[in-house]
Amino acid sequence: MSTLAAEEQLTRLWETPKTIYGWFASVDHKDLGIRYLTTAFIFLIIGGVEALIMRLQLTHANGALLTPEAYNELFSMHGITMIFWYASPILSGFSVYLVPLMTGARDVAYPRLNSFTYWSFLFSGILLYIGPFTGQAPHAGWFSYMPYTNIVYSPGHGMDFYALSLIMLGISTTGAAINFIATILFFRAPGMAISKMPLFLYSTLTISCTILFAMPALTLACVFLELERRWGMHFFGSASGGSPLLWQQLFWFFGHPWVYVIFLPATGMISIIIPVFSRRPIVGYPYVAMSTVLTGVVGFSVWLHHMFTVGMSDLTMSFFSAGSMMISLFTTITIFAWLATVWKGRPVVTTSMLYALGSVALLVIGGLSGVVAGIIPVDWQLHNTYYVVAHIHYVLIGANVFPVFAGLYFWLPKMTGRMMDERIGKWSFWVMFVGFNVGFFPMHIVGLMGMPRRIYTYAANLGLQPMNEVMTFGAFLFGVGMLISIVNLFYSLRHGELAGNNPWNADGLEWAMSSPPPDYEVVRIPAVATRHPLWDTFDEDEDPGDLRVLSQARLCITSNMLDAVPQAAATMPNLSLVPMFLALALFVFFLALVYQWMWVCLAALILTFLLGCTWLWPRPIKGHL
Amino acid sequence: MGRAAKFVASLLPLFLAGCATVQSTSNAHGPAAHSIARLSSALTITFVITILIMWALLAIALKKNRGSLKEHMPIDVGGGQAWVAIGGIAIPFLVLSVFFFLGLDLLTTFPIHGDHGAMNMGAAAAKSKPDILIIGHQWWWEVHYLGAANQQVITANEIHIPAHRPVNIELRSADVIHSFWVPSLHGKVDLIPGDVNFIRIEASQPGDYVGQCAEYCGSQHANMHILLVAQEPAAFNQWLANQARPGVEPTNPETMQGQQAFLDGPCTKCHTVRGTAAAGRFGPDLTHIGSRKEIGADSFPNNDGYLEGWITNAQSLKPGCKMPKITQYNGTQLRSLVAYLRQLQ
Repeated sequence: MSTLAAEEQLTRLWETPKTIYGWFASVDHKDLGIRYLTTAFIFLIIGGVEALIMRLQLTHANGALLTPEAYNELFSMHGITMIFWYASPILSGFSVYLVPLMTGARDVAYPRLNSFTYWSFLFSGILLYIGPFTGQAPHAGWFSYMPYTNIVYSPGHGMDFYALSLIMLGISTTGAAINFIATILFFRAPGMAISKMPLFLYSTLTISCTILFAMPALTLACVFLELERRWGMHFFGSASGGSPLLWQQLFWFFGHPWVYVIFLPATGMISIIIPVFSRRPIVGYPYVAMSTVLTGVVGFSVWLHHMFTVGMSDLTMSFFSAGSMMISLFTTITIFAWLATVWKGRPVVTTSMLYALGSVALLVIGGLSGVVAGIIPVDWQLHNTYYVVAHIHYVLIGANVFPVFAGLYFWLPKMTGRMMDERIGKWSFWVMFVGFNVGFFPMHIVGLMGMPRRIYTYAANLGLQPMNEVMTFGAFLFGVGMLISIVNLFYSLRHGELAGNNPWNADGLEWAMSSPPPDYEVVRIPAVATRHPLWDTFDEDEDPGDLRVLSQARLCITSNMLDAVPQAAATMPNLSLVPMFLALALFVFFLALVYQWMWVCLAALILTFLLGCTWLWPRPIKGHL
Repeated sequence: MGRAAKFVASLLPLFLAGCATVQSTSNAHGPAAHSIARLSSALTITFVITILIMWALLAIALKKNRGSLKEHMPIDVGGGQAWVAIGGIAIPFLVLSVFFFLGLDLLTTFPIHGDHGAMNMGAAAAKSKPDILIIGHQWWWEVHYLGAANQQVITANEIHIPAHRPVNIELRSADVIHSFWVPSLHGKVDLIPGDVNFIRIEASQPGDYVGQCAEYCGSQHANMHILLVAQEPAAFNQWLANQARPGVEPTNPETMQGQQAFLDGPCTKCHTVRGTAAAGRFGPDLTHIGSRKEIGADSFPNNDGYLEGWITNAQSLKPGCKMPKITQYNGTQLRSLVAYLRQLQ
């Protein structure tokens, strides 16, 4: 078969029509990845604006811009939005878009599930924000400690919006994790043995497994919370034999591994970007891969370091302190692998590289301040102060926001077909980098000066105002830096240079296809011989018998787990509206549950069941085998 | 010494002086806070140096050997493993181990302790006989002195302790989780409903030490302050003996009228003045309110103006607090009520 004929046939099979139906029914991971990225980015902007309003309130001692309740709602919404609806989904966006390109598959393993997880992510976010827009915002932080969140202290629906939207988001996140695991383990291009995977796939695989073990704890905690608040059951109330610490145990059993969920894929992106711009393979690939996996595993034995002040035995605390020390070793291994890569390489300074290295620079600070807070007696002083606020922002902005920007500057040309402007990009980086440090480094100091976190105001005699003024200035500067990149994005979408297949002369499979990739992505499923398919001499498209064209139907190759030996051709599903309606039905169910409209709940449940049946109903395959 | 080093060296004392504000962890006035501050300075200095080295290495790595996008090194190029082995594993392992064990040493010397762990020798001693019980409320501190029978006193927000000796404190909560924190003396410990926690603090010299609630507990979490007054043992005993007495009976017509206004008004539903019919337990005990330096959980000076403001419209001073607006008093009644409260020395 000629290549041209194959392209025509594949286009017919894989094309997503540019209609309204096509938009809602699309199961194409490229569409969904970009939607994930866009939606999560909008949540980043919302959460960022919330943060800036808080900074205005805190600029002066005894600030009176906001009422205490408004401030408490803002810091809660800021944390919830950033951690749950920005930090993890934006990385899912990258994974949804990139994993199939990197594995050489034409889509993720479960395309309709992919669509469902996107829509349920979006709808759960809308559900969360119905709260504040109806005057019923969560006000107990992203951590929502019992018993403050019980109905006595938190009447109204704010905490119900929190619990139920998180349960719904948990369904989405779990679905996405299963999808990534299946795709990475079984949809890799022939020859891409597990020892040859791009490191980004290692981190996505690791955190997907982490999610499967961590998420149930949060879902359970939220179910308990609702049962205690609305259904008269007792889990956390001490008067009825429960324990408020049960909430903390469940929450942090989820919460700390979650930190790695929003951290590891970002380090995976850096492990791709730094070697490309250092023009050499990464130093110590096996160490970095191993560190990634071990971080995921040991991530489950550090959660009690959030609870060093609740009064536990020395032995218990020492164990978790040691765990926290140990896990930082895996990060130092990774950091030194990056540093050695730049040192031994021939670095090229692009905007993407600057963001990646900026991220490393910030992660060094965030990691070390974490070690300080991991020493138990020191933590007794630092716990719940701005020192910890500084720490989490250095880790989350250093190892999530900066890598995300590095990733955007790196992969957006692939997604849009146009280059981002480098000059504006570098301006954006330096303004963000300086603004961030000016805005957040003083938080270490005010923390040591005794400024607790989650306070809507502070007294003048504590001497905190000068630093707070600096912090507000820095935070706005950081915002301006981000704005420059947003402007750059819109400018480059219209006026950017055409990217071509491989603008960076990079080594990954995704750079072999055109930018943006065609709907079917690859005419031939590539075969892989090394970790650097585009830098080696092996021809990935060598396929004399046209065995890997697979244009009989919507097909992908499945291969075995370790060596990626081809096993079978998998039939991929067609476009479908069912995933979106299923997510919508769940949205109605959870919304009705907030207000306890039980008949609506029942109707939505029945609808969910029927939609599930429709989803699973066997249907004819497009094309012929 | 290079110019940069001189510059840093000149900044350091300035920096430390700036940090030693009243609620600062480096403003240590007790053995526990002192040892923790020392360890945390050691950590800070070590890590600031580490950060500078890392940033310098990154900058040099980026500068020293630029390449171009047109070419790449061969994919089998090796090297760099030593970086990972030495910088990534060996050095951090050593440094972290040292700090970990220094931390363990402090942990056993100045424990905080709860009922969640039994195997805790140092803390068992602290647990044996608490001197003070502190109960957290939204948004104030109830303080019980647990001494001899004639010295069992309930007061609020202003915590007096004798200096130069360890004081054992038992911590409980009446509603949600709070956290007791006076940075000059020790780290923080949570007050958890249904649980009991213990902390042992010691002030090495007399003085006023400030702190505040360190676990988010609702609207007025930000203004749940602590004033801890350490006194010479003799002065402390005198203070305690005075606190054990019932409220001072008014002697002049104005304060007598004020007492009447107090007892007839809504105040007694929530507040206690020992020696009178006022026995409410919902709010702070007012038996010796006149002796306290501050009101509203140590948020405002205890003077006529703030007391009047607090009584008539506490919601404007601390929005969301549990003290309702009291509007029934006319000007004269209010002034006499305040005069009565202020003479409750």
